[in-house]
Amino acid sequence: MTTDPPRTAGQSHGAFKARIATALRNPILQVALDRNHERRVAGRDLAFAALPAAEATRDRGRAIRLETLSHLDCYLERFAASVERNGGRVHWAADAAEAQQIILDLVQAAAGRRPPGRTTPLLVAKSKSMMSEEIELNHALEAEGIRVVETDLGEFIVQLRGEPPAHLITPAVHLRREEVSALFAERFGMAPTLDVAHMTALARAELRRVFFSADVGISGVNFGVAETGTLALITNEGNGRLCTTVPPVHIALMGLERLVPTLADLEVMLRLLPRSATAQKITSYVSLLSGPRRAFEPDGPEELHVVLVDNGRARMLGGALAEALLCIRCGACLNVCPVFTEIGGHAYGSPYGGPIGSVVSAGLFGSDFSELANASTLCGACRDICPVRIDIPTMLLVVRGQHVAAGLPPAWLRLGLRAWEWVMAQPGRYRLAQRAAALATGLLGRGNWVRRLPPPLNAWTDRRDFPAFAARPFRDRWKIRAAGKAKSD
Amino acid sequence: MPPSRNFILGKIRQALKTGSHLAPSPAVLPDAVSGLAQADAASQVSRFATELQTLGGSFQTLPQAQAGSWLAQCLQQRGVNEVLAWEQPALPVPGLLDALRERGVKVVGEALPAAEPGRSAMLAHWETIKVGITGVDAVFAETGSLALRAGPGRPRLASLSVETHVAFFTADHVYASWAAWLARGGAAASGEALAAASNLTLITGPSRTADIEMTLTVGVHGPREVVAVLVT
Ligand code: SF4
Repeated sequence: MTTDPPRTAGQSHGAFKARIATALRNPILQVALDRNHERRVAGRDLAFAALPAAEATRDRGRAIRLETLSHLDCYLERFAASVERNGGRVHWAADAAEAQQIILDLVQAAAGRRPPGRTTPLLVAKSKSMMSEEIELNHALEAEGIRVVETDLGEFIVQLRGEPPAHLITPAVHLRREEVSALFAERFGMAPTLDVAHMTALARAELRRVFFSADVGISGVNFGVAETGTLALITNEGNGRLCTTVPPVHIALMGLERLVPTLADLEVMLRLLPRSATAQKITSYVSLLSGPRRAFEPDGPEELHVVLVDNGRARMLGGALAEALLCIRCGACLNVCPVFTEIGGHAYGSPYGGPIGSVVSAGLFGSDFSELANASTLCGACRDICPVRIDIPTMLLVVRGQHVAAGLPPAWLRLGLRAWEWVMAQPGRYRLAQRAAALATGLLGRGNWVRRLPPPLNAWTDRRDFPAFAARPFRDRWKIRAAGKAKSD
Repeated sequence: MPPSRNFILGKIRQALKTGSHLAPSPAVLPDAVSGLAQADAASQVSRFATELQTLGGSFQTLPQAQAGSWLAQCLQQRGVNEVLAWEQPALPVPGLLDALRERGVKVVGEALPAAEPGRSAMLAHWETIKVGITGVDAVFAETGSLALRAGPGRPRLASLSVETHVAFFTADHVYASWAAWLARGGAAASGEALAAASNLTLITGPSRTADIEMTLTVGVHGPREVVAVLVT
């Protein structure tokens, strides 16, 4: 088991700012993010315009998720019982360390199913799972000599580069074909090409060997159906199907909030998720997995394990950020966010970036991540686009409040606010301060704008001008106006 | 009972009791009825074909008697003489597999052994097979989707590890949408039926990705070609 601290990024104010600065200076990233924003948002709008009763469907999706969370204990028990009735096994993990240990034990036990004489390291074929990023699973398995291969094309690429995914849906959103080509040339001796189809074919061939020799397939779960014990996985590439069909053992990893009550509810959620994520009516594949291979079936995994992970979710459920647990991880709020569109996923230093990620990261991982909530304009675009209408801006404010309550903002901010409080407490002080400010900006500025302020105020003027204070404050003008009026009466 | 189970459930109950911040859950709204569900069979089939073709799949209508020779010809064109197939009782065309065998095509699809070394040896063989032949449980017009359930004589890989997937169906299999199948498909579409088999997959067009520069590429891990054949 790993003894590293759970997360290393995101702690210091300076680190977050530095990552933002790096992202803003990266022209390739800027182009990629702009393109992601344009295509995804436009596509999503078209997809919803074509959905009959789109708004009512969103309401219903929200109601389904609310119902699930409001009785989460009951639905979890029902789900676990249904999975076991289907022949699967359910494992409960209170935190990341326990989840890692459960999976490690399961993977090592799968050695018993190997063909005799195979001596290569245990091999895990993985399809996309944000939970595995959250619990840093690959790291934990690799530390025990297990080989883990990400099989989603985008994840495969970022894994080869030693990076985390940069987006919930499009993990390699930050890369151009040139970089992928250079990577494949270096790792697989691919002849130089910019042909995306060729690169995809190469990845297909590499990964096919992995699917057919893997000891274990590990997948995430989009939804678990309490009524039937079914795991729903939506994918386009087919890697999720291969990971859950070919290896003799399938381990499905899910956050314990990821349930819906019934099959009919699942159908509603699956109208929303692909439209919101990729502007598709339905993805190429919707896999509904109910237990391992039955005796009468010709293929499929011999064992199915479901690992239910809490890792802070139960605590979040009782707090002001509970609504964030409604999230179905479609990524739409990332695509539409003016801040995410500038800084991308890696800047957040958490597996969950963007608007919802700023809330979820603070909720799950604590105050080390509460600063992320400052990276928002509170414009509300995320709330408007969210398929289950999560009120993200309000929760961002809650996280900001927690950040301040924890005493985390830098000292100059606290001092500044105290000074402001002192000034505002008395009309006389306020009047004086107004005069001083008007005088200062009058001296520093030209016309109505100040181009450069002295430190620490240059944090503002480095990137934009500051409006000069009016030479004659409103209070004075009001007094003159009132006096004039009195005279004319 | 593992300790974490009770610990986690206890925490959740505590959280829900001590004033959850969740808004009260509104009553579930009535579902939107799609107009397509009311349309006649022919328009549903043509919608199915359009949707599938838009995504790069192909659609074909064939009289039952010609299905065997048509399929054999397809295989010949691709230089293929081995297929991974569902067993005859699971296919809607009587005698289809015999028709292939008569033309010298090898039909594979018997159950994998559960244990090694048999399991991986047989999988290694299946992996090389280029064409898969299946039936369906239902097809959905609104999205151009095929619904395939695992079951006796129905290998999951026949629609997955191959390059070309050919699925045969009849007019009886056509529903407006997944929602319509759930509402009108009877026991076969129910939650019990779902739980009774390890897998139900909804397949919509060929495998695809847009992970590199959002450039659409077809045939990543699953089939590059999906051919849906309506047998009349
Ligand atoms: S918060 Fe809403 S929009 Fe954002 S990822 Fe979750 S479900 Fe999608």
